[in-house]
Amino acid sequence: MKTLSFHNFNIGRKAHKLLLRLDAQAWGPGLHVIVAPNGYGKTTLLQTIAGALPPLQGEVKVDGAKLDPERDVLYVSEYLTFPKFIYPSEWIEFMSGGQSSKDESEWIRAFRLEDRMGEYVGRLSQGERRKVTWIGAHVSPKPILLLDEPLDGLDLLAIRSAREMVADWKRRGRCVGVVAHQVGEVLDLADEVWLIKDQKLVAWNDVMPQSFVDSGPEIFRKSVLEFYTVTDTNLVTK
Amino acid sequence: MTRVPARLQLLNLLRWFREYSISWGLLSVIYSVTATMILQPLLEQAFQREIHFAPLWFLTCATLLVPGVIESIGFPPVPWLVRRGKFKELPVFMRTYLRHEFRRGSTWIAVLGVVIGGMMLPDGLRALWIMILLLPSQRALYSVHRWRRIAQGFLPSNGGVALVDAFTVSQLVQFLVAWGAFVLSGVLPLELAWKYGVAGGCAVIAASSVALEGDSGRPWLVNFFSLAVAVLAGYLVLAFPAVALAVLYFRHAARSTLGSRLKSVEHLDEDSLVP
Repeated sequence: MKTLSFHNFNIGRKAHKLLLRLDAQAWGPGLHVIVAPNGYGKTTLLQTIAGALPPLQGEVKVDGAKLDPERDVLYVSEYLTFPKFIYPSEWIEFMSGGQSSKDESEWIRAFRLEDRMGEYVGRLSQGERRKVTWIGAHVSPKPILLLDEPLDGLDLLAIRSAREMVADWKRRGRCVGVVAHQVGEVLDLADEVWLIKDQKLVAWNDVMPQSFVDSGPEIFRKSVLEFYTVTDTNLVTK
Repeated sequence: MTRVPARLQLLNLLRWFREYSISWGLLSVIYSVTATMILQPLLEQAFQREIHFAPLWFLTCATLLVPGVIESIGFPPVPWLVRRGKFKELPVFMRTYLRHEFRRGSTWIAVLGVVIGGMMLPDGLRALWIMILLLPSQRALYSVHRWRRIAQGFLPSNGGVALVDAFTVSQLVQFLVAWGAFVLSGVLPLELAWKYGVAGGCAVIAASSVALEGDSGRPWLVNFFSLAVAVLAGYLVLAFPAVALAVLYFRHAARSTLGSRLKSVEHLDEDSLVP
């Protein structure tokens, strides 16, 4: 059970005129969904927490101690870069840090990949590669998972398996941060929804009159559209 | 399929040139000229004859393009060479890198090029083999930026060290195969084999130790830099074998700076396969 907390944590990219400030927010065990328009810093946030980008200021702590991204965080990019001549089992082994997992073969069956395990990753379809990253995230020993658009390219059956996997992670107390535009697929599993407004990360319940759980996907979608229709000052213009 | 109009293609080309001409063009010229300036006196001394700068510079640039061509051609893999799940005893990043690298057709085509290139050299120009044997490392540098993304995503703290270590081991194995075949071919007298082995090994180590240099995170600049360092190391060790110790020291020193080199590339995302 790990809790992430942000302390005067400022992130951004000069080239994109992007700045995002986080302070005093905490992500406990469970599913955290980030919803914001393109270019507001969702991916930059995940990559900075994961240590792939340096923060402008501040730090992230995990259970009060300084976060060690290499030990604690697995970040899976929206865009999948694979070595072409690696078997799926070898890539899963890479993501697991070389550790074996008991239920790996069950998930391979659930994602209907058992017939594709003898092919190189370079010969799999985009959706099949995405499935491989889901299983890799599952077997990873890291307690915090950050997934960028993890549902892209998945078919309906695979989305069902992915939802079961997320439910399993929640039972195990993993902290999962997800950036997804197909929010309806995971909304009922979410423990918190985060919005980005005026260069700040805000919890849904702090700015919306209605709980995102009670609202359902349609009302949720309308609420988000209305929320972001009002002009805000997210982009740094100077 | 919709064809992109010539006007848009031209605009794209001009804007690409405007965007990259300074960073890539100018620095490439600086690196290639530097490499040639280092190479010229060494070669002149080795061959005891005057070598003009312009043709040598052209040769250096052309040599740098050959590995890029080999890397971009989709040679069929050699799966029987590395079975599924091999190298279990190695660190996880290295085993993934080596499995992929040793299964690729391009890898062994470059090694074959080193052996054949060496056998074709006349006796008086045998020292050029040090330059030819950089073909595999130059080839691998054309795709190292994609491995860099993988390392940055999954091993943000130690990924730089893991990548350069994997790169070095892979290159040393390829060098040993090429050197072994070269020696077995009988072209190289046995008394010179060890001398060339040490010098070649040092050149490969030097070439590998700068695999993350070049801030753009793209090939080309890193190729020039690696070539210059490797040629310098290789020929100096060939002339003065004790310099091998300095090469090992510099390799060790460079390793400690690799953490920050990994983060010098801002853009992580690229939907692509490592070829």
